[in-house]
Amino acid sequence: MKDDLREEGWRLIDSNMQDLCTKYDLLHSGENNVMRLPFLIKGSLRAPSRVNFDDILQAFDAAERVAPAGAFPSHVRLEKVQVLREPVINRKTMRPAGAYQYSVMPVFSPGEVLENDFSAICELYNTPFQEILELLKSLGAVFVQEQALLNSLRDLTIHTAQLPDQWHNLGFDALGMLIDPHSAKVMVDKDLGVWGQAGSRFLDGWVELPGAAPLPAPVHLIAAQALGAKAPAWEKRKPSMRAMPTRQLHITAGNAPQIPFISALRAILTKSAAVIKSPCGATLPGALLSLGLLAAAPDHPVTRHLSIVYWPGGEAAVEDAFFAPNAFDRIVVWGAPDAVESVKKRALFTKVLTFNPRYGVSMIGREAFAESLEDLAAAAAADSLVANQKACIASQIHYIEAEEDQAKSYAQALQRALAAFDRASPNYVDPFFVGEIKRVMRGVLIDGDWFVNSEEGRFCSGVVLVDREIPLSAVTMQRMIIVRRLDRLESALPYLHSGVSTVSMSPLSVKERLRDEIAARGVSNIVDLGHSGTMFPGMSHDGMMALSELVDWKNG
Amino acid sequence: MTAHPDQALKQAQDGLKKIMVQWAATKTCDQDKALKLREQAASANYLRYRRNIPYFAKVCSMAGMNGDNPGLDQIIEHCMIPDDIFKSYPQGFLDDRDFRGMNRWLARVGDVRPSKASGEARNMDQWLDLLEKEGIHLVFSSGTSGNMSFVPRDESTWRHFLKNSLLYTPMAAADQGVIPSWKKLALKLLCQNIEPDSLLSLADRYGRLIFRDFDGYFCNFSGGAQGIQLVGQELAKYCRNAFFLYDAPLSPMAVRGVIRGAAAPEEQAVIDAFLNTTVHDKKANYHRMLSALEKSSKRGRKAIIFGTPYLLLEICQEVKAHKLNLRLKKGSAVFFGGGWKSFDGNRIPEEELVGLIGESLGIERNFIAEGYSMTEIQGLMLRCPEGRYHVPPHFETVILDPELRPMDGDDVTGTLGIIDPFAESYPGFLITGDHVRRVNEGCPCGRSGPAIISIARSPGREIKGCGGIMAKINA
Repeated sequence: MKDDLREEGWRLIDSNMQDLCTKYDLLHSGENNVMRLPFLIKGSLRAPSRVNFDDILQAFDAAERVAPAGAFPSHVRLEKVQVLREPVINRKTMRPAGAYQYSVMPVFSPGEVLENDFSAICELYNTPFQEILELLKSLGAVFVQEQALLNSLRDLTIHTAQLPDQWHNLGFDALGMLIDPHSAKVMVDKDLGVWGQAGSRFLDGWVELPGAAPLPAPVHLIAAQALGAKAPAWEKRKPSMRAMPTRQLHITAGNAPQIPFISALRAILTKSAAVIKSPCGATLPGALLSLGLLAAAPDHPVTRHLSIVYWPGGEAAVEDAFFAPNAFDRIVVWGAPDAVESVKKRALFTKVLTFNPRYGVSMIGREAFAESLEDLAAAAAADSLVANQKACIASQIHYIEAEEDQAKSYAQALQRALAAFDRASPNYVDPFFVGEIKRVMRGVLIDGDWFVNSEEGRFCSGVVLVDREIPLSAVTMQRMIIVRRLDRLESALPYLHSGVSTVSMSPLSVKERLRDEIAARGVSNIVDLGHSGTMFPGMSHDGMMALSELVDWKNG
Repeated sequence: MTAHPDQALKQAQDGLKKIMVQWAATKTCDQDKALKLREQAASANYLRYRRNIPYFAKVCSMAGMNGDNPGLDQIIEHCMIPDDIFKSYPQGFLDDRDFRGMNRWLARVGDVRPSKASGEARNMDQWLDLLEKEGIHLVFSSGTSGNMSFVPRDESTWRHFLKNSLLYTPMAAADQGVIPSWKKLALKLLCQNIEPDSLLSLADRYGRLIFRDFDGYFCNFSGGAQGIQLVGQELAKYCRNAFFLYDAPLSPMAVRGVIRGAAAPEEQAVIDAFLNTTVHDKKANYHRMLSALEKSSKRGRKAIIFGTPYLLLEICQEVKAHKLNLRLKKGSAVFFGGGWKSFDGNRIPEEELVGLIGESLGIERNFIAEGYSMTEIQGLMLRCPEGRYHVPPHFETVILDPELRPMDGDDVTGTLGIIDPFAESYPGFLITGDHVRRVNEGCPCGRSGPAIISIARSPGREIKGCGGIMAKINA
């Protein structure tokens, strides 16, 4: 049996996701575009109660009546369920179809997911890391086995996906890569690695630190003098350390649908008891992970100490309990400034990790224009379109050191590159942002030179060339790139700060010349042009080794 | 259109003024005629703007609007301008005190041609003063990010800005009982029998007769060209005595500097003075005002108090905390403006404030009025006792969907757009930052025409991911 486990992963697969979906009537679009999504509550599947569609409609009608002007109620709570609604997008026209997809989810109470039984948690904390890798292997096998289900979910959720089709589909394809055990091991060993030791060793137990030389406190010296032979033998201490798992709350964001998955994976890799809050607009990844874990390893300690749920941000009944002292050891917050700020203010006694709203830029020196303009523009466009320009690392502003005519040629080449993207993967621009782009074009950036790709008069993508400072509120992140021309690239340095996550640069000589100063100003990633979106296991995130922040480092 | 655009505009404006006065006196007006005049004014202004305002010409060009007579629908679809345009100057101009640069920007955003002399100004306050002397009136608003907006008005637009509301607000005040009935009757007779411009001349000369029973208390600065300050300053001219909470002009340099920091020692001094007045001496100023109010009360004089809900709330709380016995004479009134948000962004509880005003100042609910306006328009919308902000007939309001396309209907909610026929020196086809519900039906108060029921600042969707990037940063 043990050998079988090694062969297949953590345990033999004897149930599957499709069976669970069928049994509980989950994850398919029923009548009236209603999909039922489950929660994972400490290893137990919770399916939503049955609800009448008319009751859903009435609840949203009521919410609309009391909503402030301009607000779009996307969440309602009925007696035993909560419902999210998202606009359906016509994939041919990439415009709102005028209908909604409803996700019906169960409810939960905070007490059900909080972890206070430390002897039970220690079973998870002391699970060998190898078993975590085997769990991931099993999960991967389940996802391969359930390809038909995944395909149907990919096709179902594309109707509300705000990302273009290709991005959406590749997101599903990337699941296997995200949970690849080899990458996971590298990630843990590098991220938690200290004292020349692999990180997974610290996660599994107390690791002696051979080179560590303990230093005495004054009291030891005084004691040695006063007590002679009875003095504490501090020299004999053999220091050790452990990366202790923690109880984690992850409040995730949906600008890239992989984020809830990545955040949950960090909890799993650190062998931590965790509650994951799915974001509005990306509740499916959490549901998939829940079902995958239940199919792959229902009795695994990770599964039994993991909860994947949803509540609308700001709901006091949930958040007061979650942000109370000692409810969690770590709170991870991704997302909007007000969400991050709100959590920081309320969870005063818990260590809060924030993945703040940030943005990327590109810096292109004069020498780069000696090469092919089309290649330069293609690389720069790729940096801008990470997660269709919605990722925190996507380049929003290109600072270019160029003459006016060069800058214009560059903007035009960029426009052509974007047009090619538009043809290959038509863009979806939310109606709100259609309005925002009009505002920017006719308002704060009226003085810019605009190079717009449109279809039937509707914005698809575009470039605006300016030669002055601009307010960041002009950034719309909808395949709209702001190119700011400069006489000297160094003039862009004052605009780099900790809000800038990534700077992609060309040519190499410019990167080498400026990268230390850019890094000193708070930027986290300084990469070659065209590489903003590339990642590797064990890399830092927003200036942190994230796993290292999620564990509690203990000294022995 | 056959007439010269300037003549056509003047003709339409004169017609609309008459309709404003009629609407004030009778609560109703010929809406079809008003619409025709607004269309005539919009067509004339379209041509004037396109000829004289480079940025407007650019908007038209980007939209492919090359014809000379596009019609109101086309203007609404393609030529509406967001109010952000008035902050489209490079912030570096103000940081570097490059007022020549600011003048170049003004000449692009508006139909004004500042002189070289104003470009030599040493600081922002002086720049505004020099422009004022040249007949260019810059009205500013602060902006939460310190990115101030500047709306350039020539003499004609400035007069419309200051005077248009006088054509209908006194009658609306009279309707609420603020003015004695005999004065109301006299006012009504004047409205029905003399030309609007003559009415305004009379208001200039004898306007104080209407409000001479009142001592005016203004919870703002006694000078400075910021929207809400200007309303207070203008209203003050008609009161017997005027008392300002801050007896100093509001410095735009201080307004910007408080948010963005001082660029020079001279600026720091102005900021310090501003903070002393509004923060350090705040309570002392409140008590100075309250003590003056007490004197008015003892002399049996009525008071009219004007300010933002936030300041009035604080003042009432101060009265209550110190148990002051301030029972103002019956007929005293409160006039709000400037929105219902507090400094921390929360909405002031309206019912609580109205109750507190009654409790602490003795002012009855029907003597509490409110106006809704913005820096960029020539006029204000008064809220009636039924809670509706009535749109005066010279404004063409447009409700825009999220894509900024116009929506039809007698009960629609969306972004408010306003076509202002009296904006002559800058594009008056405006997209505001307000989300409103507009109805078009008879109001129980008796006033006809469209009205705005609710006003919110921005859509309240749950923000996802990195969407809400830092609005206060420049790049």
